[in-house]
Amino acid sequence: MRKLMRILFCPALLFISSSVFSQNTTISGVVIGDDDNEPMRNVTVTVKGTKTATKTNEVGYYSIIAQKGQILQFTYVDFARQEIVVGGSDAKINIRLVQAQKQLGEVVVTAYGIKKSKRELAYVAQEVKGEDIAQTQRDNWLNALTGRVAGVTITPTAGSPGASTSIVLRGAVSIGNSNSPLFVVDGVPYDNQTMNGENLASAGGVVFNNRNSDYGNRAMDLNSEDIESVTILKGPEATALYGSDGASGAVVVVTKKGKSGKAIMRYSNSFRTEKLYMFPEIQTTYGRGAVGVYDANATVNPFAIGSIYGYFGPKYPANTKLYDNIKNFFQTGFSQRHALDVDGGNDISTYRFSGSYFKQKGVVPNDGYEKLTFGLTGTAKISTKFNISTGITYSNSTTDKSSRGAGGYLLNLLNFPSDIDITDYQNPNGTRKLYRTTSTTLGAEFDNPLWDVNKNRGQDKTDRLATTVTLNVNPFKWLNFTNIVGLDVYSQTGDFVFNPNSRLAFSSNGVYSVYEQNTKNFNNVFRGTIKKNIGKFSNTLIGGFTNFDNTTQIEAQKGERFFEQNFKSLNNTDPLTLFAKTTKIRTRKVRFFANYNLSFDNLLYASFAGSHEGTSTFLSDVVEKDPFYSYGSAGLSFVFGDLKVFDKLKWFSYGKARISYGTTGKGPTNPYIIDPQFGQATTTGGGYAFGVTGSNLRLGPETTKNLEYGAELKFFKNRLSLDFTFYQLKSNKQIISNRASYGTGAILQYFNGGEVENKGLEATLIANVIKNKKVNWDVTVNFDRNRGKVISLPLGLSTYYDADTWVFGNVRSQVFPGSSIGALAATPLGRNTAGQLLINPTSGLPTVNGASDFIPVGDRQSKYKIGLINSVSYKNFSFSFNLDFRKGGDVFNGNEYYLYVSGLSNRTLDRETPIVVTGVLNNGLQNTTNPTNNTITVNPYYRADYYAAGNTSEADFIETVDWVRLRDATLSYAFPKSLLKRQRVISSASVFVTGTDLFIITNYTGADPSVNANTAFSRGYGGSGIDYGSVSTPRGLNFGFKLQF
Amino acid sequence: MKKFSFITIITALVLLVAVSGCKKYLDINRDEDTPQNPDASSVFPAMLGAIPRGLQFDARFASKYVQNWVASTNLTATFDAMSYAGGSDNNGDIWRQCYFGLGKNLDYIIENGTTKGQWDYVGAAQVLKGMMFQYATDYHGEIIFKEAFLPDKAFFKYDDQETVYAGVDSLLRLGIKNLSRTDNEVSTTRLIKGDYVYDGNNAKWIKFAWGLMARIAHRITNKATYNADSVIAFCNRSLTITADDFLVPFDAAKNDDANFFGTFRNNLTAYRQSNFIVSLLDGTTFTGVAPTPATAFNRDPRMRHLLTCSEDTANGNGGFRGVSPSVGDPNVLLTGTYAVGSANWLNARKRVPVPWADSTYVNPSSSVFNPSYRHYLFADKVVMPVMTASEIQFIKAEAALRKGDPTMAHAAYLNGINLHFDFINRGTMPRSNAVLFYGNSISAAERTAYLASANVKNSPATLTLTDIMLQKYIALWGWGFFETFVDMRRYHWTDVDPITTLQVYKNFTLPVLAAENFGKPVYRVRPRFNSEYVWNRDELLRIGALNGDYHTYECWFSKP
Repeated sequence: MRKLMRILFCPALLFISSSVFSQNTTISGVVIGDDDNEPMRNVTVTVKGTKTATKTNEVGYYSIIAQKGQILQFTYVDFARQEIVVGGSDAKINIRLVQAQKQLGEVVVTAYGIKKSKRELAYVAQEVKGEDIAQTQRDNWLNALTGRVAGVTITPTAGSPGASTSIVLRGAVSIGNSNSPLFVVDGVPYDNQTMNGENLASAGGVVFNNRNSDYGNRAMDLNSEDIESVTILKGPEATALYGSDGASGAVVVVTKKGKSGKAIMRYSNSFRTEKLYMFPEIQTTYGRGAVGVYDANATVNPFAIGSIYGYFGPKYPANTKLYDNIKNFFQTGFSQRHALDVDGGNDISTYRFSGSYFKQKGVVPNDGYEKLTFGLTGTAKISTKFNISTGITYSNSTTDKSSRGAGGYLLNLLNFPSDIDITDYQNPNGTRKLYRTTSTTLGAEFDNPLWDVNKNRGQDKTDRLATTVTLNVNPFKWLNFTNIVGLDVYSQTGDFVFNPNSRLAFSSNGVYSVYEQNTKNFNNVFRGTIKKNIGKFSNTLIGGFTNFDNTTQIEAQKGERFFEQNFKSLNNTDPLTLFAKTTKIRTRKVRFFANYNLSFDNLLYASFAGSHEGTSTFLSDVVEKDPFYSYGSAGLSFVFGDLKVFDKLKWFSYGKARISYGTTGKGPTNPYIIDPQFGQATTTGGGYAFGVTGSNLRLGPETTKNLEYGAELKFFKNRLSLDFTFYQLKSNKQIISNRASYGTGAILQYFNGGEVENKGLEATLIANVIKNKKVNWDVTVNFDRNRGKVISLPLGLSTYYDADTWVFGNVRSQVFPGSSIGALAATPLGRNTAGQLLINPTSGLPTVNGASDFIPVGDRQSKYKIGLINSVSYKNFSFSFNLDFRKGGDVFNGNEYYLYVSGLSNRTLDRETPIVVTGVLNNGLQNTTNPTNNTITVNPYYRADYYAAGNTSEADFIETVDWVRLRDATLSYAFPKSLLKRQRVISSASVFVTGTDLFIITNYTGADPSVNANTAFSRGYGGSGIDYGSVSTPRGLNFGFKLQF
Repeated sequence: MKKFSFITIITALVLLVAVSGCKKYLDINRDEDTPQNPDASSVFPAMLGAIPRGLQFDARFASKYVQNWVASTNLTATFDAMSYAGGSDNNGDIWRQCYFGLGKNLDYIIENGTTKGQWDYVGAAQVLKGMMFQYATDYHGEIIFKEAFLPDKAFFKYDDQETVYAGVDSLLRLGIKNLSRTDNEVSTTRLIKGDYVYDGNNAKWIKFAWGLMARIAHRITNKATYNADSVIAFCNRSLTITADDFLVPFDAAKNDDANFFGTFRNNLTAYRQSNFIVSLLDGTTFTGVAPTPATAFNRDPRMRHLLTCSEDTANGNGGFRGVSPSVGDPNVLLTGTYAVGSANWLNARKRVPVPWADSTYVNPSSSVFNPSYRHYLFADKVVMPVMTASEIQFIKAEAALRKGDPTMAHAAYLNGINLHFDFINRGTMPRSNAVLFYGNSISAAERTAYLASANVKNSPATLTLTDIMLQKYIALWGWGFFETFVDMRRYHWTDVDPITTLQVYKNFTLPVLAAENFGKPVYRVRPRFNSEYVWNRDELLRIGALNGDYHTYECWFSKP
């Protein structure tokens, strides 16, 4: 295809080859389109570096005078430019021009499935091919996007099977609302909810919130083998059309369709082993005890999280047998994937069937994930003016999980004594082995993590059916109507059992919780497109409307006090403890949209878009409210590279400048927050009372103003391209529920207010480094940098924090006016006005400031991120890898802090060295010009308070993290056709090896800095960058083969 | 072009029809699981259920200020020492209850009930609203009153106590007026549906409201404007018999509807009866005679119902022991098994028991409903009193004595004591809650003997403020923490009765005060931390609440 690109991109070569001779010849020939073999009219033929130019006639013929050694350029819109050096004896040069689809006229799918050529886009729209995603063999395909698109931040909750992954485009624009982009599959929104743990029926001491359990993000239901392409839309126009749904951007997925021709069947598989390699470190020098005295039952209880072992005893005696319990706990995970698809068809109809099966056994005993998908798509041309395409996908998945975060197995594992063998957790008769011999109740017996993952289990099952029907009518050449109907229905059921003998459920004698979530999303998009060319002006007007109806209902029940100890059922619980809860979330939206595109001479493109949207979540039964609001955008794209002036620059092949500006409106995401919102009272007599979050009759839409400008430049015959974008987003009048004085009548109150600004730069560099018959080497570099800042909070409030992220110690996701949107706040150690540490004159130790003094201590936003993707092919081998660089960005090493306060951190190893904490005594003189320097020597070994939470600042456990990680690498080998010719069944075959997360080079002292303390349900900036109780991402190695029949 | 305009017209028409239909399509923003416009009768029970939450949560702290209970060890003695927990919501639950638990809900009942003509609900809600603001201002001094619940506000101005009491007064009067109305809309649900305290008995609600009026009118005994006649008049219209008592019952089917003071919820493990209450009930304080087996006739028969006794009962008063603030039980750590007769064995038997049962030192049934562990108001399924007829009689007695009518005072004083005996003896409780007496009820003979003993003044001439206030202290012990807190602040803890020249709260000693008190006892409680100290700081700065000793600032009501 790109057969002409033989010359390396060293410009010198080009100049050498154009040595000058003065000998005029007339050259003539015919230009033929490579795709249809038809003569091409109006192709510009230029003698490079001169003003001599002509155009081909109706039959593609041209004639021009040039000198030997000069270069003839053949250019035509959307076709690759060709250059031929005039030889001495040439009189006739016939040319085949190749359509430059892949380089210039690339088509991308934008809002509502509207296809636009990349030339005309006034914003950046980066695309990832389905095969690149599938190749990474990820169980959650979102994880494959890391590094592949500039400006995308992917954070998995944990490295366990079925874990949710959150995705944020550019930066968090919302302080307290969801920043997840809209997912669109084949033109209709695809639900990517993560179930909110708060909708479950809570049960005594066992809490099911978003830090203790993960319910997956539903976009992972897609079969990655079905994905044709993924386009990430971040720009103003894209989001202005999608309105409130697209205010945080959109991830537009196009699935594979059948291709006409002979039926082709493909089968591929992958077998994977995975192993953890990133662990928090624990010290194995000092054993259990307190103030240097051995005590097997010594405990600490930092932040009242519940007692855990304290390791402030003496050194382990020399002959103590120590176990590597952390490594012994985890196992090697194994998974297999099988994918099959058949497609075929003729000129009138095509079809594609696909099926896939995935089964994963995780690195944590008993954790697993299983997924089965079926897909069927078909297209049919009913007449020349009417065609239809349909798609049905079914997926069924099961996640087996254990609890995470506080009380979960990982933290228990970290705290587990090294001098006890973790695998020895059962007595011969199958009962639980007790370690804390003096414990009078099992409530004081700490769960062996292996006991925990065997007895305290959770499971989620999802059945999902998504269908789309697309009708296309073309009554006239200039007119098109399209209607897309989508119905996406799924049910997710799950349970969690806490065994009566486990620590958390001992007092309640067992806890069993179940839920069922049923979701139904209906969507219809109708659009009309009018295209009309008037002279050099071409006009496209698109108008239409869309409506959504989303219903999610969650039925949750719980029971306590088991009759049979090991039986999981609500019937096995005391009827008096049964509790049920219903949550129904219903929203509707209507949007009218119009988009007018004007282009001049395929050079200058202008685009105007407007939407008028109505959101059900604004309507009230109490006051009259208008659910409608409007927003719009304008963009300009200028392909300046096609101007004649640039023809002289041989090395310059393409240039486009673009600018766009848009606004986006957004209604409340949550329903029922306008009218009074009541909750069920569980006190005596029941009834209803206002919920903790106060509704607000006066809420209005929030708006985001979005400006973006940038350019796309290509050099050396498109072999090097650079695309860069600057953007600025301002989101104001945010609808957030902020804490405030209880004088509001609520604990949190919905307000309209606050402003967030995001500024950034994104750049993508693509180079085709080597291109010849044997070797091809492509390099893609994605760079992004985003600074998100909170300008103000509603009504001048001083701060906003997300209680869900307050998982350990006094660290939480909390913003202040002027702070980063990704700020972490904590209570620091007390200091005097000169900034010196204040020392308690009695204890000789510093003390933490009061809880009212949360201040920003970290910023989780990275300075920049780089994704480096290389793909090299040599003969039948191809090799690709994706390196992910991150510079900066703070991470709270909560695991380390947890280890520190329990005496297991390596930071506590110097405990026998007496020290004097540098600082001044808090004795009344601290803020005078002559404060008293601290001279009190403390010996941490003999002090119960030295490593205690009250004398330690969380800020010391916040690390600024850089990393380089090899996200994935694939080596594959395609069997040569010559080999396959001997038989007729298999038309192509390849084998591959893919490694995921093979290594990380980082300055982070904990296990994995890329984890989230919450789930993808998180609002605002969420729990990413808070490393507490989540298992790291394992290293995976996949083998498999692909066959085509 | 012709085609184009045709399309335009069609499109415009379609849009027009669509937009008008759209609003109807969108009109689904109402919660189908939980009503967003419930009837007053559905909100009302949740309000009654919310009352104990605030009072009992904060009782953990106020009870220590007034020495109903003290901490079992000196390690947790912050509140014993009349201090506060900075950076914590401890002691902020009356605040939460005033603005959130009941708060805006009551306004909803008032508005909704008014439109439907449910005057009984409107009146009862007004009374409860008055009650909540009364509790909040008694407790915190300056509070948000006028600006409470105003929309689109995040910061709120505080009002002084005079303003709040005046506001409470009008709320109560409005409530009484509405409860007295007989023109309730007949088609609507009546108060009996949601009211499980008084079963929709308007007359009792009115009595309760007058009781609250009596409370606030009686707050200002130190002021020249104090009017004993009004207080007496209000008392006369208030609760008169135990059937009038405002008692909130618990169902005790699960955590949230069980008594906060019961074993299931396990909040009293670290609380011990104080020496002050023990010596009030064993006769020491009233008679001035130390208890011995020989003076057992001085023991109050109520003691065994209210308090719990140790294993070792040979201390002269049947084994009832108390703990002093900031000291704790000296034997609390003797939890092991000791050789019979050894010193540790002897001392271990002297440990002061938990409030749930005699000779019991740890919670016997945390998270398990076990009706056998109960003592007085400390059980899973008993009532939480808010106001009793006995309390009203003591208010009346004090007002009458101050007015100079010892005869009326004495009669009320005796009524108060008798009504407390009745309260303990009450055989049936709302919502089938457990009775309060331990074992058998107090016999008539026991009562007569007590009334005739040296503990009780049997002539108006000898009646003193001390007798009234200490008997009131007993009657309110274990539930009326906040009223007792008001009373003791009115007497500045250790004020001397000019007539007897003795301390009114005889034998009450201030604890060793915390350093941050600067030698002053507690006079108010800091506003809720996570409401005000985090989110309304400017206003706190204005009233001085950011000062470390703000809790020692005397409130307006007790000043002359």
